[in-house]
Amino acid sequence: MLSYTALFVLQALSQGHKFGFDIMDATQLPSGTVYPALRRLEASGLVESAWEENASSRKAGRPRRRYYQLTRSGREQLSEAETRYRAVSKLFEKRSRA
Amino acid sequence: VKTALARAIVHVSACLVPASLRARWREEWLGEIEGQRAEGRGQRAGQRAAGKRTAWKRPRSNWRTLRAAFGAPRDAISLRIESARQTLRTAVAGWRTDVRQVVRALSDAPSHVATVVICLGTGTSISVAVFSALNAMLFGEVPGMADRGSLVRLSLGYEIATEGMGRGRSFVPWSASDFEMLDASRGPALSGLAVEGFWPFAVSLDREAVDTRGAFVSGHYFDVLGTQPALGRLLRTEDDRPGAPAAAVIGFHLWRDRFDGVLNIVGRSILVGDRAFTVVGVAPAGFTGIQFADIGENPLERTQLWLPLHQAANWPGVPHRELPWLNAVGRLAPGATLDTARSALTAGAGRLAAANPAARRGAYVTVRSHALGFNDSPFEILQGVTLLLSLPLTVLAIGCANVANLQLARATERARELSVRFALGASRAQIVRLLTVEACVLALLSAAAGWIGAALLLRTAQPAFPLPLALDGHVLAFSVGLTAGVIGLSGLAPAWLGTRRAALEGLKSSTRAGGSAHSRLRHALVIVQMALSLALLVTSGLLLTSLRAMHDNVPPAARTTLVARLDVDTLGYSSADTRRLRDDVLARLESHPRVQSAAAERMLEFRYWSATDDISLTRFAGGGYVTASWFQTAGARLVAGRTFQPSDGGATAVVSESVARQLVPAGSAVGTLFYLNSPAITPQSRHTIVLTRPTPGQSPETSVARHPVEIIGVVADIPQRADDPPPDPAVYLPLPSDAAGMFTLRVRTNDPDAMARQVRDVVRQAEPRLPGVAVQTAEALFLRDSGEVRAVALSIGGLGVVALLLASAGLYAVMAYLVSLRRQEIGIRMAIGARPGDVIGLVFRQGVRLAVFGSLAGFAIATPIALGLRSAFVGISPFDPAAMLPPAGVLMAVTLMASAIPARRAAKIDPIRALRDE
Repeated sequence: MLSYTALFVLQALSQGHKFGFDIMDATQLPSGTVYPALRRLEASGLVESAWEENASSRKAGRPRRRYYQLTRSGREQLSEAETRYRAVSKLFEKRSRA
Repeated sequence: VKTALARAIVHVSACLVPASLRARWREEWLGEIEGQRAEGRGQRAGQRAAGKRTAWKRPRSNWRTLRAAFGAPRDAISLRIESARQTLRTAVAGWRTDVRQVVRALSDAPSHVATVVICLGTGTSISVAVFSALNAMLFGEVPGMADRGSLVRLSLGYEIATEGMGRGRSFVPWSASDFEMLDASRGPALSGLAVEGFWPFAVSLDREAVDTRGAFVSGHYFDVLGTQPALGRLLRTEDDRPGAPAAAVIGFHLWRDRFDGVLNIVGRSILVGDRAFTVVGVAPAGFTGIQFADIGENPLERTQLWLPLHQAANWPGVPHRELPWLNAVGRLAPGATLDTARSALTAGAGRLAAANPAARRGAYVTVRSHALGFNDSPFEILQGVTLLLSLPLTVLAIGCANVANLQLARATERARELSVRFALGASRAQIVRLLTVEACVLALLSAAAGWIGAALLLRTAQPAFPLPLALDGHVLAFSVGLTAGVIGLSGLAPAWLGTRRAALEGLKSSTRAGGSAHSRLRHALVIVQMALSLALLVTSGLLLTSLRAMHDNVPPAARTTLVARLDVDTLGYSSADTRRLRDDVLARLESHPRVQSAAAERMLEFRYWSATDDISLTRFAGGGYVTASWFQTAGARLVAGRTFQPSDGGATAVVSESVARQLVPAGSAVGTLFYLNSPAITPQSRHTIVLTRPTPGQSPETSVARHPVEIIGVVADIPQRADDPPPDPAVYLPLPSDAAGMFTLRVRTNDPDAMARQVRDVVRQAEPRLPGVAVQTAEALFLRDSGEVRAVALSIGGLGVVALLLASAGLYAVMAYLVSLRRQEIGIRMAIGARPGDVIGLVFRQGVRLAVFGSLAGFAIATPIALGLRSAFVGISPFDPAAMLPPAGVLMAVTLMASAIPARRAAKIDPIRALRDE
């Protein structure tokens, strides 16, 4: 079962946000939460990372960046979690109507 | 500035990240921060070029970058925690492989295993045995007592006034009337209360009477203790009523050892003194009443006969109802505590004080748990336990130090193997784990050996021990704790040190590189161990010398003299009865063909003054009242004047030379008058029980009764005790014919062994009711303290031998280590022509050097000990070669033995292999 943090991070990744600061901005989570979450997700195989090409970083005049992307099982977990959270939110809608 | 600060935070946080991940981690964070900055720049430039505001959704400020950088420490910490978890996981996994490897490695080094097991097993077995003995003493089962934990010992306190001494508080036993009153008002906190009063008896079954210690006990006694009979039944309340048939319970040991364990003992009639009792039952084996026997004491010397308390009322010599002589024991009711029992008895004590305000003023009862033995405070018990355990634990600690040494040496020998493991990617944690598993395997082997050793020790000690010794849960817990400590001290520390070396040096160096600081420390350890064991052995030797000196000090007359104390007080004798018995016994003995002379004495202590001394001068003399033939019997050499004649009486005295010198420093003392305060031995003074001592600072007396006495003779000093070489000054007075109370027979004979029985027979013929006639030689009396000296000497010697054994193991470890360090050097020496003999000499010289230093240090320790012992024991000189050289010789021999294996190993070094390894 994914935590909210992990879910947000996975969603941000699935929407194409690729590196730490970008994900922070997209999720509005602090860096001290986003990075450990990325490490955990990578350790459990839901996320993989790759280092930026040397050339592009040199062009931008900065150290290389580390880009993250979802793995296959990361995508599966995400869609499963989204379905579950949607079901839960329906539950709340019903209750509020009643 | 903000970006620089953010970078700084990242750099500092990087220190927390595990080293293997640090570079990548730093790169990622810096990459993000720099990327942020570059984007910001690019964005601003784009805005300027377009000349309009862009639709960039997330305008970034440097503030945001800085805030984001504060997440770096958190990220670093979470990484560190994760990696620690990982390490732990790898450390735990794979221990099975380790065990297999360790077992394989150890089976290749059986001598190493044996040395370790002996080193640790010795200390462990002694520690466990001592602990289980203490455990038995404090918590163990007591023969014939059920549920010891709820038994309490009770004593009574009250204020007592003694003439001339003021008032003081005193804790005393109970009198029979105290018991009746307190038993009646004990309340529900105690389910039972009982008393016992010891008394010596002569018991006979058909044949000759035997002496035994017995006790008068109240009716509930055996119920309170929860004793189960070995045969028949025990005493009950109906036996303790006036008019009840005379019933007695005899002890198991009295029955088995003195009455040959006759099967039909229950229902038989025995004579106790001159009264007939019916034996109703036999107490269980080992049962000796409330107090159990001392270690090494035969239960026969303790209570072995129990009579109902009401029989004491008219027993000759037994204290009357109001005199305190009974020990009380109670059983706590379920749920009651010591405090509730104490407060319940306080009410009874108040009633006691009210009923007898003169003798029981301010009475109160103290309640102590029987489970904690006889000491008052738990602190004292703790102190005793600590003291007793510290000795074996020291031995164990020395063993641990030695094993640590051995393991270090082994780790050095294995440095190459460990380096290869490191090179193949083993982490330090894995290597430490391997060495820990090895330490655990060795410690478990040692613990098993220690446990077996302890069981054997306990089995050996059991006959001398009053309580059953068992290896129970307490002991098991203690052993587990001990083994854990042993693993920590002897395994983990060397493992950590060993891997540090291996990790630092890796493959780059050979095993020759040795930490000189380490080996110096190790040499010092070995020297200290040798010194301590030598000091122990020398101390033991000095005590044995003292023991021999004691035997040499025995006066020749004492070897052929028998002494027997006749305790006629127990028979309620008048002074006329005493005189009749004394004259009768002496006449019978003097007519005996084997007796050279016989005398009676009553030894006391006097204070004496010269005619001019101040009365406040306190000067004591031994000696006492003696019959005329005493001087000849005791072998006292007359120096001046004469000894007593039967006609002498009253104010004449014979004094020893030391008293004569005190009174008349120059010239003859014969004819001199001096003053003496003589403790009265006339009938009035009997049964005087002094219950208090004067409190410090309070003068015990304001006036002293002094009697003038004339010296008629001077005899040479007679040494009284083996441990006290300057003899007591002594004053001898003629024994008054109306002297009452106990006296001592002294018989000079040419055959003391055969005569001992004859003396007993003579006394028994004259007075069959007299209990407890122990006939001893004067020599045994003279040497009465030597047994203790022997026990101390032997236990210190035993400890010294164990310490020496362990020290030799330590020496072996160091020698083996040195040889392994000098492998190449020895190889070179052999390559250029050294013969095996030279190499062996090399190793031996090193061992002998350590032993010489150890011996010197040992003598340095032993000398002050010897100086201290000289004041307490006879015949000790601090530089006694007889006590010093044998231990030094033993140490040297042990050194040579311990060096032999490493020396042989050194001699077997193949120069070609040693050089190839270089």
